[in-house]
Amino acid sequence: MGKGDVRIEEVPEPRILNPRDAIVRVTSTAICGSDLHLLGGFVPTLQRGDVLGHEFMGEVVELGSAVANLEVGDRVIVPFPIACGGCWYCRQDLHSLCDNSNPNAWMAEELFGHSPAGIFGYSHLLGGYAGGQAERVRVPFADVGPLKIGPELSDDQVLLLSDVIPTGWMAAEQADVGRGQVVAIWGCGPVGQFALRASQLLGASSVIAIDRIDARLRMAQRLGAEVLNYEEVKVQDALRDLTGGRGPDVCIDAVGLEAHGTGPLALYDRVATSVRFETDRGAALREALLACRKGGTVSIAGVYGGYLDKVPLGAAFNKALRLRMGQTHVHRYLRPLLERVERGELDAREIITHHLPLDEAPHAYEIFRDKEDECMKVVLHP
Amino acid sequence: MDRHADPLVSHRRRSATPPGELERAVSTMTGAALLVRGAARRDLTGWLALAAGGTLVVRSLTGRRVVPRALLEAGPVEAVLVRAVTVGARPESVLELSRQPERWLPGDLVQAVAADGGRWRVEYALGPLRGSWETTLSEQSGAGWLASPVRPDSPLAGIEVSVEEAPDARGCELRVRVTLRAGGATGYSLQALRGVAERALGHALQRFRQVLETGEVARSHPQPHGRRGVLAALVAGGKEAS
Repeated sequence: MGKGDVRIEEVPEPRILNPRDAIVRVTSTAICGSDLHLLGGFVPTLQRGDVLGHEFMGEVVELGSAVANLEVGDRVIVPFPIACGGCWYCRQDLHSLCDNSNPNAWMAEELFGHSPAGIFGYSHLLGGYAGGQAERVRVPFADVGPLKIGPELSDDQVLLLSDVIPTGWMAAEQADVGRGQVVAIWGCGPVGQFALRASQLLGASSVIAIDRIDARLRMAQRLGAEVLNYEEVKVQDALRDLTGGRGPDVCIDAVGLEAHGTGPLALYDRVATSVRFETDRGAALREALLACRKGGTVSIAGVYGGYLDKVPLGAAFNKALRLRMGQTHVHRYLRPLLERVERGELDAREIITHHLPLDEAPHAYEIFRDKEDECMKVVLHP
Repeated sequence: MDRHADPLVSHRRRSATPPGELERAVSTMTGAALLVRGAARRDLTGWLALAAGGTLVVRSLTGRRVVPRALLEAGPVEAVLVRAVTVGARPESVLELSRQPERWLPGDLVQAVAADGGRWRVEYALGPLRGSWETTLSEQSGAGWLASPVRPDSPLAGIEVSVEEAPDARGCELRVRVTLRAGGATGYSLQALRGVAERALGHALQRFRQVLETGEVARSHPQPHGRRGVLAALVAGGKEAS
């Protein structure tokens, strides 16, 4: 594939390269919003021919000599960041910052100063690992990441533990969402919906969900959120009204770098990104920074990849906002969130709207990108 | 380095010797390739490629030398590369592994040539710089070691390694200082490719940390992929499964 071009191709089988590797036969794999960032050319160093996909689960079919905690035949979900388990960051449960899992760390250092963890199917900047939208995938550090799943839970119930469920959870948790707080969430895609559920489970008194897609707003409403269509209302005014003039205690940006927005700044973003004066479009983040109450927290769960213009840092500074962000430390959330899935507190089946064979991935990307047929989440089956 | 004492700078100013036919041909071809690559991309690297390609083509067509002859005849220049890495291990383990570069540098780059691990042969390929050198431990203590080349005219003039404990129980900090010294074309290449060499040193230290902290070196090649673009295939150089 190249920019905007997804194809199905026959490729060689992955092989065990290191003693701590496993090969997993993929049974279910989802398309993530951040796959669209890659496809749209927002994340540098994706190459034609790379295999996408970082949300997947399946059956272990081969193990490296140093993997003692798994057996061939185990059913596993695989976290999207690749973590060694032994570096300082992994020992602090900051798995998405693993020091040792990105073989192309020098590339990330050029852009970010330091390298985060490698990620499946997420550009060469973040490791160049083949992704899970495939029949089989090599899983490095398989003794650390994959979590065994029993037969009593379906793929649909647990697949999104690989990314979306922990990402939504971390968005709320890192903002210290607690009893009585008002949470506003920009973006009602899968991450936004799970951030909503997480905020409710962590005790938020109310959640306000902001988007422009009716189907997504309806889903958030069904889950108990107040909803705002940003194309129909002035979000800043509406949030002030809904919070007695204070502003939300916590603002979660579950949109990231492809925010649409409205008005002159949205137009500026379109022009600036098209000529690469900036790489990311920041409409949701700007609005979150302006809307948040004084001393509140802005939590960024949507992916940003490079450079962003016109960020109202003055608002953040003068209102003494707390900013939290980062790729999700999936490993640390897997077991506790699996327990919540088992108890029925988190149900990904509400989010998954489409099932398609892997062979139809190009079509799946189209309907997911264009939000056709009220598409929220597509799961592909090899 | 004092800019006025830098032979590269002073030679660049007074160079007026026209390039030879071969150099002009190479410049034209390289510049054209960069122009094609730049035109195919709409991002910053594309624009940089366009600028570099345009410069090369104009210089070759106008007869201005890209690499002045005087530079190639310059005296010795020195480049000191310093990189550090924090490793979650005891200083003794870090020092022990540091003396066994064949375990953490690519196997085709370094071979131990003495049974006690105190002497290595390094095969290097840094752009146009290719060759080999042998180096041997000349001093060592509990806090580090110093290696010197077997041949005094080697461009690798010295490697200095020091280890000290990192704060907050993070293990220890390994600091490596590599001194490169050469004249003429080799010296010019050293200066021109200094950034590449520093990146390579940083990459080597990451591999070092991976071996100590995980027991293996992280790899993502060879692995499955679909049809590559021509440029990516050339860059991969057959390293990937296809």
